[in-house]
Amino acid sequence: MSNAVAEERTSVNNDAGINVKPSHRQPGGPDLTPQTGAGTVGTITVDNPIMSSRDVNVYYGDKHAIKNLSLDIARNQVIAMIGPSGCGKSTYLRCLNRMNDTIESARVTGSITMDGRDIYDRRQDVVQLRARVGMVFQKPNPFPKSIYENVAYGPRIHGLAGDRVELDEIVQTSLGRAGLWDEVKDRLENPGTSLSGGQQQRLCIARTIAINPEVILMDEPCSALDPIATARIEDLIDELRASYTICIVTHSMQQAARVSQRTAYFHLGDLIEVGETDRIFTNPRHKLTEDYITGRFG
Amino acid sequence: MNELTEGHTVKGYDVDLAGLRIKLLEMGGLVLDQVQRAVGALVGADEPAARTVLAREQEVNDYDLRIDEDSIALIARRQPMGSDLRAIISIARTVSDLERVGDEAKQIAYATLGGDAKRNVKLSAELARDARHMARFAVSMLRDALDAFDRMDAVRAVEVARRDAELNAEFQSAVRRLVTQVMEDPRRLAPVLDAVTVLKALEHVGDHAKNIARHVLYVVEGRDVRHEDTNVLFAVGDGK
Repeated sequence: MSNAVAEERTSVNNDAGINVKPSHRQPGGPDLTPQTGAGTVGTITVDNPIMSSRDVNVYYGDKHAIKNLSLDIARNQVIAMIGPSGCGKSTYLRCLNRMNDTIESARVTGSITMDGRDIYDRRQDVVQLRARVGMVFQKPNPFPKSIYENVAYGPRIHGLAGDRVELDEIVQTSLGRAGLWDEVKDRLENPGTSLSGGQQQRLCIARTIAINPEVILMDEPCSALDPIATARIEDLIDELRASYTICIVTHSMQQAARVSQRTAYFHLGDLIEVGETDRIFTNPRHKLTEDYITGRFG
Repeated sequence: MNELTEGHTVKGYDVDLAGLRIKLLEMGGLVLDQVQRAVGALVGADEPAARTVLAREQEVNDYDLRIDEDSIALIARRQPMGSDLRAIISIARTVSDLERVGDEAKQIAYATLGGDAKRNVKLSAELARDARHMARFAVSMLRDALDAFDRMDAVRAVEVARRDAELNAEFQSAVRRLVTQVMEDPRRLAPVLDAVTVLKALEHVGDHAKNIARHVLYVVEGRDVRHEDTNVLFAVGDGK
């Protein structure tokens, strides 16, 4: 959408004296005013978002997986994305760090910006993006290396440590932040795979935060874990949001209710509703959201 | 509550809610009957009837405990969300209101038996008329509130809530008449105080009906209107 046309539309509205939402143009960045009809119930915008999606469509070949999605992600907050299988929540998550690039048939249109800059811009370094927007997966996937190397690998290749002493510090801080240091400090040379499932997942989280991301994407991080390991990770997520922004896709509504401040409900590729978590789970506005959270799956 | 007790993919959930609904209706019917019997006993100076009311108070309490227990079990078992969550909270609150109505019926029955002072409340014809009138009004409010709760009818609920003002006005004028009696003959003070207790109990029944109406609004619209002025209450979607 060219800037000139966007400006014209805004001024027409002002002449009519209608109170319109200000267009979301970040200085020097693309115009983020949604072009398509607001199908989403709730407020998609936030003040000073860290990431903004506007009119995003994702196709896998002919399959229209995400339809005209617009959504802001707020800083230092946990946003949960819920919805039935195939609704698009994981697809959307993968857009935020361009993991969909690795899928041959995937095509992404629209605009996704981070701090005002389009992450799909040709000049964007994908490796750099994935350092700023980290990801934790459903099945813990530690590298086939020692615990120490798992965490040190990223900072080393990104040149974040000047010497071994600095690297040690990064490893210790990251493992500490992930709530794993005390458990592994005496066996850092042991393979990452020697840890329990829950510990492996915390190792993956430590690995992610070692390279200083701003956003951490989590795709069903607790699905493979028992309730105790899950609880420790949920507690960790609560601590982490002071320093990072977290987007979590989860199958468990109860988990979404426990860990997030904002919840987005997806259905067949559409973002149906987004809002404050407490309200979404006590009094959602859209019938589809209500049916899903009350277990009326039709 | 049809919509609430239907549609869950896990059918046991529907069954749980339907069970609660039935018990709630039964408890409602029981307390309505208690109030009517108690007033009838008072007006007819029928002591056996009053004793029946006192004896059945235990049944009311049993319903209170049972429904509360089932509600808490449902919360643990089903982790209700959205309208289910609001419904279960509202059922628990409604049960509490009904249990209090049962207590009011007990108060009225006590009055017939002379209460603690073993003083027989000799009702003047006027007072009997006031009591019967207020009772009819309060009972119909309660019956309509329970009906609105069962059908989750917000418009009806608002209409019930608004009637409370009229019941309160009835109470005020009945009390004024009683005060006049005492001023004319101070020896009437003791029996008049007993009479006020009875009329107050009926006024409370109306209050509980109003509460139940408010719970309906909470379930249907998610609005907590428990402390709002009923004169300006409205139902979203109400054409007025």
